[in-house]
Amino acid sequence: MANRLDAVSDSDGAAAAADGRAIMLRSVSMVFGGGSGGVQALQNVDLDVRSGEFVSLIGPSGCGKSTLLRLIGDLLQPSAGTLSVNGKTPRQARLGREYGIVFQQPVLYDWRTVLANVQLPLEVMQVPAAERRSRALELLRLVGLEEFADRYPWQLSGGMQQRVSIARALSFRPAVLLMDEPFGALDEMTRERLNRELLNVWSDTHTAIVFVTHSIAEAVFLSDRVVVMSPRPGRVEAIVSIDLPRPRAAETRDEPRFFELVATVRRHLREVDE
Amino acid sequence: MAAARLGRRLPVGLALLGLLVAWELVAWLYFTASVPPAFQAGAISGADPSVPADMRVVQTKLPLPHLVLAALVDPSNAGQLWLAGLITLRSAVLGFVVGGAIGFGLALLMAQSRPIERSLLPYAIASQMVPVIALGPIVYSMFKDETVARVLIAAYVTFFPVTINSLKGLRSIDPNALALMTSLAASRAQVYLKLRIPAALPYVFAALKIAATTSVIGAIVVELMGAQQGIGVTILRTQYYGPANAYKLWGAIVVASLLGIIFFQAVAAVERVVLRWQPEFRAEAGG
Amino acid sequence: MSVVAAGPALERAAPRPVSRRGVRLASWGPPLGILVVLLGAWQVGVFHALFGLREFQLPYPLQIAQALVDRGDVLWRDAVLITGPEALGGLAIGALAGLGAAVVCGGAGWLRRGVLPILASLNSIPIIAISPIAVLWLGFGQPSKIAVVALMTFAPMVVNAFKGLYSIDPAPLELMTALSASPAQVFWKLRLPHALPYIFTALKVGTTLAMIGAVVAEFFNAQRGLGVDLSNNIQVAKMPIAWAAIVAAALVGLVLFGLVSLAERAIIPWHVSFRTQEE
Repeated sequence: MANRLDAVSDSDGAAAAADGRAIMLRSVSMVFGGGSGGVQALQNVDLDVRSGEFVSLIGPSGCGKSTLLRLIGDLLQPSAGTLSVNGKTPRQARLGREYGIVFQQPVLYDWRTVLANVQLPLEVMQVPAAERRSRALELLRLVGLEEFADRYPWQLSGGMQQRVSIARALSFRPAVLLMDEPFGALDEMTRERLNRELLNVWSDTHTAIVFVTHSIAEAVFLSDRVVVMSPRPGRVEAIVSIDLPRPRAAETRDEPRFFELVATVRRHLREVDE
Repeated sequence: MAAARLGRRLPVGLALLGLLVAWELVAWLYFTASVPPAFQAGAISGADPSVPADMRVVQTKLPLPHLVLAALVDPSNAGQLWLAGLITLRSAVLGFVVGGAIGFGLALLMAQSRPIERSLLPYAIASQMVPVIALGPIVYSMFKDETVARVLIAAYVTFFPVTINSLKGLRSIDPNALALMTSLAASRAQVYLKLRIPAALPYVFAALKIAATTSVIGAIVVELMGAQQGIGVTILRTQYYGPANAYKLWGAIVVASLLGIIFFQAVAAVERVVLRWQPEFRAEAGG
Repeated sequence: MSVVAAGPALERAAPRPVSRRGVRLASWGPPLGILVVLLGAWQVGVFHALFGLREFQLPYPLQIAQALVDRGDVLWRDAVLITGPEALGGLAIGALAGLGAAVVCGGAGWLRRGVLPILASLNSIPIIAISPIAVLWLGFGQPSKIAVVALMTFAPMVVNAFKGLYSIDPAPLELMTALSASPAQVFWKLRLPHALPYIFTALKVGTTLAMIGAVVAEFFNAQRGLGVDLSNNIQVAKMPIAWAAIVAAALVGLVLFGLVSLAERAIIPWHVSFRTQEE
């Protein structure tokens, strides 16, 4: 069991850096329910994610993108194919606490303060109290919520709660961050602002991010690559490289190249929908 | 904050006052209508044997509240009323604690697997179909000790609601919260300590509040079967000895009611501390 | 959003088809098995050894069964003609009165703040203690027991019905306002249906209370009924019959509970089916 955070992430970070690929999927298939009544959620998915890369998964409802995320995170086991995370199986990666996860709902504990919520993963990993506290405060500072450390979740807005959720996911410096439509429940303006904040945080932490979304603009704005998936059974239909320069700002959304890329992704989505 | 709390208590206080006044009025009207002036003094004191039987019970049926209050504060009644109440309360609290612990433990056990839950749950439910209070005399004759009987019955009426509610609380967890714990490779014990049990506490307290009053009632009913000490014994003894005891009887009923109410408020106070993170306890907004 | 609320379920395929008989067996098997084991252990004296009991303190299951057969007619008569109707009648009266009181309390703010808490506190009062007084007012027969049961079942109904009638989300109420619905329409089309699940919860709680109330109220203050059977036989140390009376009372309670459950399934099927959707 990993107790010393730095030792774990450094050595694995080194391995991943040497390998270049943080996440590798080969011929991954997923069938729910056995026998003739089974539902094929994913079929022969191949995907690579480099360390520190930001990859979005986009596609129509039911295309299996959330399933794919959960497979990577070892919350589900594949029916066929292989996955590796940082050179290990997903299970080993999970036991080694190598990825953080953010859901559409903040999933904060009502009975804990914001600070205690961010500390939760560190508690599970039995990090000593003083180090837990300073770590958590550091992350809260990163997402701009340190003054709210002693508040309770219900006292925060939806967007703020989601930022706490992100801080929690990063508190133990995982190499990989899995995000399942994290901003889906928020309004457009908050969403765009949190997109920018996420990029700030990401540039600081250098985690590989797999980001599931329904929003084309969001996917294009955030990612290095956008993976377009087909409806059930889910397959990788197209991968669009986003060559917009970083760091990206609000103005990036007004650039012609942005619109071109959005149109490209949209075209691919229309193709798979027919 | 204190002013707001007073503002909320005021209507109840006024309503209680109104109730007392109405009671006094009705009791007085009933008394003067049923008992001619010649017998009135005797009907209250019970000292006059010439008062007809049906007039003697008038005060037992509907006593004048101010005389009940007088009986309550009379020091010579303290033993039969207040001390007896404490004896009953002590057993009820002990049984409550035991029953609550067993109930919670049982819920933890049942939460482990569906087959276990399916096996145990019907019995838990069926146990409540048995008029548990009727078990009082049987338990008493089994153990021959009234305190043990009181504690057992109090524990019995406590464990079921605690089990059911705790189980509900332990199980109704957001799947995403569980997925989060899985992603952190949390051990089973950690999931229980950090997620399931804190999440279940509001449900547990809901059950504990109910059990607070029923455990007191259970203890009293055991005493009604024929114990030596306790407020139920006072009720038992004073119901048969005529109007002189009418005020003690009603005083005992008042004390018995107070026991339940006080215990309930105590548990509610503990809840406010343990669950202080709940918005309802923080906001203290009106209504 | 609370961590405790039900969250979105993962995408799941249709569950594996299991045979009807298989499901029945799976849910009835374990409890039945445990019952057999418990009764068996009891009969061979496990509990006697455990608690140091003698036969006259705790009769054996077969003795109880024998008593049920021997005194069956008396117990049946008392259960069906005396105690059962007391419980049922008291429950009906208490429930209706509680519902009425809840409706009235919702009518004015001062009623809600002042009177409702007092009515709710009736939960804490050992109504049983009032049974001798009920006898003074209503005599030894069934009416006094019905009165005690009605008082006991009144309080849970008031609390639950009030919650169901008046703790409604703003959105459905606003809809009613937008439709210019009259208060009566709001009551019948929104409040009452919304309150039905709460009312049935209170009724189920009430069936337990009703049986307890009826039996205990009969203990010293009646001439016939299961409570009388119980207390009489305890006093002469005829424990098997006393336990048989308890079994009879438990069965009556189960029947009452079953009736309420049936009514619930008939009246609010939409709610019951929600409950069968398990994780």
